Amino acid sequence: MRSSFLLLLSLVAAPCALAYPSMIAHGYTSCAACHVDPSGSGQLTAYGRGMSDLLVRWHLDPLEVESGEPSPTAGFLFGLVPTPEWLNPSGNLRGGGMVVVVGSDVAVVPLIMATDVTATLDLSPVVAHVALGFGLKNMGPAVVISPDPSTGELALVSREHWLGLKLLDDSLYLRAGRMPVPFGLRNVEHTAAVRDLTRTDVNVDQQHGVAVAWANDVLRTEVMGLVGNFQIRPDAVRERGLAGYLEVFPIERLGVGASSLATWAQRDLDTGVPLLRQAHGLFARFAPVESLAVLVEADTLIDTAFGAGGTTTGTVGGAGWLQADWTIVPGVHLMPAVEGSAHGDAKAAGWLAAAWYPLPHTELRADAIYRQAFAAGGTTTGTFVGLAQLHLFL
Amino acid sequence: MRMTPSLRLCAHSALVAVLAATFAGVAFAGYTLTQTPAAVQFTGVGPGGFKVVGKTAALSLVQDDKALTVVVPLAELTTGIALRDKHMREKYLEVAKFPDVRLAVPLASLPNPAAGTTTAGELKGTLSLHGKEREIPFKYEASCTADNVCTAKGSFTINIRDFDIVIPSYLGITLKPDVVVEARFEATR
Repeated sequence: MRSSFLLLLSLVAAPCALAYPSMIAHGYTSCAACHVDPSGSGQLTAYGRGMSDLLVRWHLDPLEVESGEPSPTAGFLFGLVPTPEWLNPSGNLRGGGMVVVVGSDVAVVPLIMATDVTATLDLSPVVAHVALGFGLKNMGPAVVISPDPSTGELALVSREHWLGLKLLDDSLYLRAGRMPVPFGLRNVEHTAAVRDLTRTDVNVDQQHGVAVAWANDVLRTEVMGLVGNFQIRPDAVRERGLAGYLEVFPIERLGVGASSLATWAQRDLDTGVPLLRQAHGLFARFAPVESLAVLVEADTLIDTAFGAGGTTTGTVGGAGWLQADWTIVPGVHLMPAVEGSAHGDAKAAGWLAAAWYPLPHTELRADAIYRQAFAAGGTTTGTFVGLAQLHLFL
Repeated sequence: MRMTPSLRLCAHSALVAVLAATFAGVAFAGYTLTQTPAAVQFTGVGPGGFKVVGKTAALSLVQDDKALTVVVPLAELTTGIALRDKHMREKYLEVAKFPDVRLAVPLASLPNPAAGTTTAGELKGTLSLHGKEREIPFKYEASCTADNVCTAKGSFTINIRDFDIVIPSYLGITLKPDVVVEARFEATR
């Protein structure tokens, strides 16, 4: 029971990046203007810093937004350190505390989720990007060096490092290195089933590979050839294959997309057997009004395990996510969500998250998550997670 | 009273002009916007899929004996972000000096769809924007109902440099100079 409880703890740690697919509510369909990554999430560009200050931050006086420019404090380290245009340094610090209740077990866990220092060198058309940080625990696939590789604790972590080439007025972006896997919504809730079961979160699921991204005013797409995560060993556990998405914008403030992923590992990290893993799904982002964005994703999960003597075992499952992001006032968001999954056990969860951006570079977020697992035989297990966190994106 | 030949010629010319104007008037006079809001929007694009869409429902029609002119006041154009609107109005369109954009279409070239029919094609008009005038081609689609309610849609692409508008650029994001403009309105005839 104790070990499964600890395992659960490792699975419920909450968001650890910066990605707002809900920015479609402001008419932003593509991600590349605000994020260094053309498919979104993570480090902001200079423009992204400005829009973060104007559109994401809470303003005591809303007229500030009506009449003002982004605050000088929107710059690196609150604007205290001027940087040349070609250098974009930043930091991503996230920590907090979590309460997990499973039956009569209650655990209070302090969390350090991210301590990344990030730099992007933009010598257009060539771009180099690297993120380095310290991982206290559970950083497995992102660990570069750890005193205890089996646990990945106290580790040097690199979530991303890549070289890119921007062509055709930045519409075409070629990259090689370690980067997020292009699939589905790039939401920050990395424990959501659609991110966790597809192994496409932006916390630690980045992979090494080469990617081609294309974006214009009516569509965006990225396809990545996965050559394996070279930060895990041995080579047999590395997944190789293809992943990609295509999102089109048929009308303003609506994005509809499809994703597909197929990977092969000689010894899958979770099952320990040769595994062909596929995920195929649809997602959509819709903002009926500027203060509300609705994000939805549904994925099919198909695993084919290869046993001794050439036998194969196939399992088919799925995962779904529906989230509303309601901007109560600019800078204050309420984000209820529901999810369900069937991959082995069936699970359902309800989320209620609130985020407040009181100062430049600052996010305070609280999450309440209730998960119900339905095991074979009709037994059910309920888990409640309460999470409070402070996020500084410098 | 007997008219001299030159006077007769002059009177004849005047009659022709009046008749021409009258026939033009039969076809196009009296267009009045209905209560259905008009929709005008421009779309500008930048690098990596970046897009700016500006919208307004403010549109009026002005007609004289030569042209039907669509007038759109720019002060009410919005892009969804207040600061961007401010930059657009003050720095790029200079709305205080050039408050509206006008597209004048010669009456002689205007389509006059029969009731229950739709016509579409390409016309030319004179676009007045930011203190500059240029003749531009534009695509249109027009239809009228039996009770003479007509819907007109049009679109054109301009290079804003042709109108001496500074290329918008902000925090490393620079728009391309080609901007697509679309308009739709409903009027009775």
